[in-house]
Amino acid sequence: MLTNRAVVERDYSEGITCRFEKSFPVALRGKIDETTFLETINHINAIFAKAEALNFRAYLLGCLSCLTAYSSLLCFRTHYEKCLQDVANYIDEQNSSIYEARGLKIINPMEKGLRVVSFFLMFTFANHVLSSFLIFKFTFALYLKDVTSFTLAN
Amino acid sequence: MTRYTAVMVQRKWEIFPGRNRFCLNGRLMTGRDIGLVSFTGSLIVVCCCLFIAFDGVYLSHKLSIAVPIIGAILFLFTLTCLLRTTFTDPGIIPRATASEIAYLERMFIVDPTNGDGPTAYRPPPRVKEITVNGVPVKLKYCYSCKIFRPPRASHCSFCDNCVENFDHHCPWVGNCVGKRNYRYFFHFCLSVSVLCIYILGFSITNLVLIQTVIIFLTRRTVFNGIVSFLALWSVVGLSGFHSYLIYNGQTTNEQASFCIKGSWAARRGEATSNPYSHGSALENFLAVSCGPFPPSLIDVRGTVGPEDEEALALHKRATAMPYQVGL
Repeated sequence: MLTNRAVVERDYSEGITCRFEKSFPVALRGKIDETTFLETINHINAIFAKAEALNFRAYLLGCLSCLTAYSSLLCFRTHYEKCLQDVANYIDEQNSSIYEARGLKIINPMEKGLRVVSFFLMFTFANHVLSSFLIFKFTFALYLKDVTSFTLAN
Repeated sequence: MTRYTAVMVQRKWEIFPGRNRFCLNGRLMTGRDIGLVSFTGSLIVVCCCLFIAFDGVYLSHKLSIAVPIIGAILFLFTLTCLLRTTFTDPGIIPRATASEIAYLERMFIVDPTNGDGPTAYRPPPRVKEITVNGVPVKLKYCYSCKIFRPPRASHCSFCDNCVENFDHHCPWVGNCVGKRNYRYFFHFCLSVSVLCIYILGFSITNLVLIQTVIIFLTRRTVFNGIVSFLALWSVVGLSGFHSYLIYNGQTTNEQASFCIKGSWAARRGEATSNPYSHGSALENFLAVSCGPFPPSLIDVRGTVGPEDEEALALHKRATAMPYQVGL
């Protein structure tokens, strides 16, 4: 019923490599500042750009695995997997250093099939007050049969 | 299985909503029908073993030891590529989780005063317009997976999954061909073409060297020659077609829909190019055959949690009572 997460979707404007949008979600307003948010998203985007980069190194690794009839894939982790580990580590570090103190938790995009980076709004006292207020507002809006405008406005 | 969930760990592949087969506790996955792929595999194995064991041994005495060795290397590479194509996740996009369904549904609550009855939800809009590298692209909403399909993704009707960079569902390899196994599929096509030409060539050489018309002595060679001759046409054609697609940076799915709707340029009536091409033919080829290895997005080996069961229930409910389309 209530927004308990803010969602950052994929940005396909520069191709189908994994990039996330840089627009600041409304639900995060007042919880973190936009520069911190942008820093996090840019860093995640940079790791994915590194993972999917088409450069000499990627071609060399691809060629080597092809020449070994892909048996090297059974023995070594791929470059992409290492980058995914970097993303997971970065998100953990950001959560513990910045976001958890503000009642937020970043969910790893791999858990949602690389569709979204979601920011889970944790159940803190401030959030509790806010959600009670929203429940009240929503019920009131239902009463006024003004739900459409409410949901569109939010 | 469900009776023992209290003591046994239930893995996600056991409740996977698509029509796939899983082997080795979810380590390998493939499509539903494995009849044709068994045929393909056994044909390759039988022909190559006969070739190496009989023609190869004879030709190693007459010509060079390299003949059976190169044949064996080609055979192993072809077989690896076939197995990789068949048993790799083609790039399945996981279905929406419970929270994502709730999020979407909440975004599209209908005004109850409209008189739509008790179900005060309408389905999300069927398409979302975006631009990819300056070319307008429509993202379609998938009613089965409850997601907006990423660009180039399509829902495979055989496997009931959305697949990234969907190329086609190939019954001969028994799996969808998509982002994660297109490389193996293309290499399989190329290597099986070379293998066919190789076996056919050396079968003919063998017959010329033996210089006999006694069919009893040459029956295996003749069998190999006929099989590779028959297979040659289709596999060389397929390799050529996929080389052409890679040259253009397209998938079979896009090529097929262009035959109906026209090209990128004709569709919008303006000079636009393929937004997914990497620039040149060489770059497209390198990206396909030596590019990075994208990860599998479905965590089939993970343990089933409460949210997965909730999502499954929501998907089942949606299948039982489909949304009214076109409200």
